Amino acid sequence: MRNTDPFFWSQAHWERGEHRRGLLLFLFALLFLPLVPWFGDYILFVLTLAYLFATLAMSWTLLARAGQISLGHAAFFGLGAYGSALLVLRAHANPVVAVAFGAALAALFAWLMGKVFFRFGGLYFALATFAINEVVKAVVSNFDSLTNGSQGLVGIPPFSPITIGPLTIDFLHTRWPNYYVAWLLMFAVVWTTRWLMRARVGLAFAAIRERELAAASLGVDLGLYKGRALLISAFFTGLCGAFYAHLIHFLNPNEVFSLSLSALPLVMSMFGGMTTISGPLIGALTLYLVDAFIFQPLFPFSHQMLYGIAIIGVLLFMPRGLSGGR
Amino acid sequence: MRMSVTNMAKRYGRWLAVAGLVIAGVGLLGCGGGTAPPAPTVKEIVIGEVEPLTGVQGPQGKLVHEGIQYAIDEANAAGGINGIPITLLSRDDESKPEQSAAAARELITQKKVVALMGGYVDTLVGAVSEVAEENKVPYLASSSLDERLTARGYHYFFRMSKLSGFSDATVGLATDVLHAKKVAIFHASTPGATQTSQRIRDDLVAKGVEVPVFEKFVPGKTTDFVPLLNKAKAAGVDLIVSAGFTGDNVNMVRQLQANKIDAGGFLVLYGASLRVPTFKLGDAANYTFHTAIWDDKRGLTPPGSEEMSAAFAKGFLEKMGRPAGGLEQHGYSTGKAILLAIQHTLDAGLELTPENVRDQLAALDVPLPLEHLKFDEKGDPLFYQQSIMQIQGNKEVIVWPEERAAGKVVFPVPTWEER
Repeated sequence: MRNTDPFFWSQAHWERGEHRRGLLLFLFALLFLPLVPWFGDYILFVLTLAYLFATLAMSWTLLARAGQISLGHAAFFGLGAYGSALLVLRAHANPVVAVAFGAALAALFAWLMGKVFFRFGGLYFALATFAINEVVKAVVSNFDSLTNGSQGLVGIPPFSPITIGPLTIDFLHTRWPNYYVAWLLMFAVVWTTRWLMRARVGLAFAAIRERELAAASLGVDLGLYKGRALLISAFFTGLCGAFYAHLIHFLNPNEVFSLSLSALPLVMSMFGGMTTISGPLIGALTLYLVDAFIFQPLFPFSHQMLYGIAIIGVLLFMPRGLSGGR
Repeated sequence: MRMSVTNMAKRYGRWLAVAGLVIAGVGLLGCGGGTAPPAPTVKEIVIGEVEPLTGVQGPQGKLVHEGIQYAIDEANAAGGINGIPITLLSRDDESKPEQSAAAARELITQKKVVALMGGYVDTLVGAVSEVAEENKVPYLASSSLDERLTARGYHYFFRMSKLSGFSDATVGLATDVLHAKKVAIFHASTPGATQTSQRIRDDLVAKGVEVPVFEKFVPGKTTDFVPLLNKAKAAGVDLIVSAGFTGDNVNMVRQLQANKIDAGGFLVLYGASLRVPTFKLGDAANYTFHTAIWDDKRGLTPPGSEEMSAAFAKGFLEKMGRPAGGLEQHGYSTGKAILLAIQHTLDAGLELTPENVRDQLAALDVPLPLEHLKFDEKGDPLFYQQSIMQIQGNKEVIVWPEERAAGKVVFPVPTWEER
């Protein structure tokens, strides 16, 4: 009988349909999009956002690969964003250094979080992550002297221009540099996922995901490997948040610690399929781009309804997501 | 090993489908957004609007949009500007800053709009203003208060509202009319509401009024205000100021009534968002105060704008089947201002470019129903000033400023038992 549960993750499901060469070909093809003459600022900007959300979805799935469901990834996104923005605005650091700092801050927080939360299992862990996001949001919203509280941060600068010979890479007035940064982030998380799945650590993740007790009895250090999954996932999510801060130039706790930002990667991953490397990427790109380029222009007042129907449709008829088939 | 066509299709089919989708979607868009240079003779005037039509700020954004759309429809019905039809391209930003930025970028770079307008709350307005400034296209925000936005020295950013329009009215009511000794302030955790509330607190304290309760809440998410309202009551305040949005204010008034919490007067700071729901609240809304910037029936419109105000009030009622409120007026006056700037550009024999429209917008000095519009050098309106109304017997009565007051304030307000 066909299993219709999207959370039914047998090892066979995880390994099926990993067309790695196809995935890499696709990613490299995206490198040439800015060369298309009629791909103007707007299209590159939308693609940049799509890649950002794809990276976010894939980062979230990295943790899911170790069997842990997070409902609070916005905490890492927000910490990355605020960490980077504050370092630039308060300490006048170079934005590139600040982005690394933001991601490291998210990872550090994840490490501390893991120390406490991995005592909980399954649903309890998910609820704990949901709660911790609210805690972080409340702290950022009320720590006025450091974070500006609910007034948020204004005037976050873009990455500094880079001059190489006659070429100046301007991150403010041209879109393609940010496009390539977003592409690089997406590629990095794809590459990391592929590497993890092939390495010992990936096997440990799979063992934990399949049956924790059995994994532990075989000598897999549950705390260590779950912690690694959370740390890597949080690091990439923090990178996404930090990049977002320098792309949009504004931050407000309500936006970057929002529940919808925590739910988004889960929805995109389920839409694309969580059992493959490519699933979250397909889900994020399809959902975001179809909404931006088709639903929004045609139905400006009701596009979100179509977005919802598309998600429900895929969950009903393709329970393992677009990449998982029937 | 050779691979059959079927196997290749199976292997790469999914990727080809996604790539096709991306390229087809983008291609369609690219075809629609031609990059042809502007024709010497203008055949159509294209204006862009970025608005939160869905999401947390959707209820407010829709009202602003209706006002803007009315202004454009009215102008087109009158033959356009110098006979040239006007096209309004409205985009929904879903109450998300990244979508605001994307929509502004599409309108400017793909649709080649001569000006942008609309917007509600500063995180969204701020994101649009960045894109407008970068591309040198004028942007007139319908509703924005964060003073940091106009402190950036941007050349293309203007707005219809300013923070002191609200804070002066609130402090005036509390000190001059109510002679309050203690005031509680609850504010939404948005940049504009936070800043306005802090300004009100500082101004009240400077005038010797205590502010023992100053609390923030998440707009549209916090639904139980009873603890906050009881805290204000326990502090013995004379007035509660709510810097929240429609749903927040409706909830607070209902919870005051349901729990019979007598905590002095209740002022809705962003009154424009409460006027329509007020009448749905029935008796519960009696004795509450709210800010109001425009009311044609009560003559609340700047001198010189009476005719325009009356025509809008009448026309909007006929078209929509309900009276226009303050948010619709923010939208309408925003639309009128942009249309006037375009009209002045064409009348001066200038080419219709964003730069020329920007210069004419900066030079406006004109009575509109919302305010007498003239910008300072930062893009803030010079004469944006709210009045305050109290609901008495289910009718609105202007009680501040004194020169506009149409009736006496009822204060202290009767307890819930006495009503």
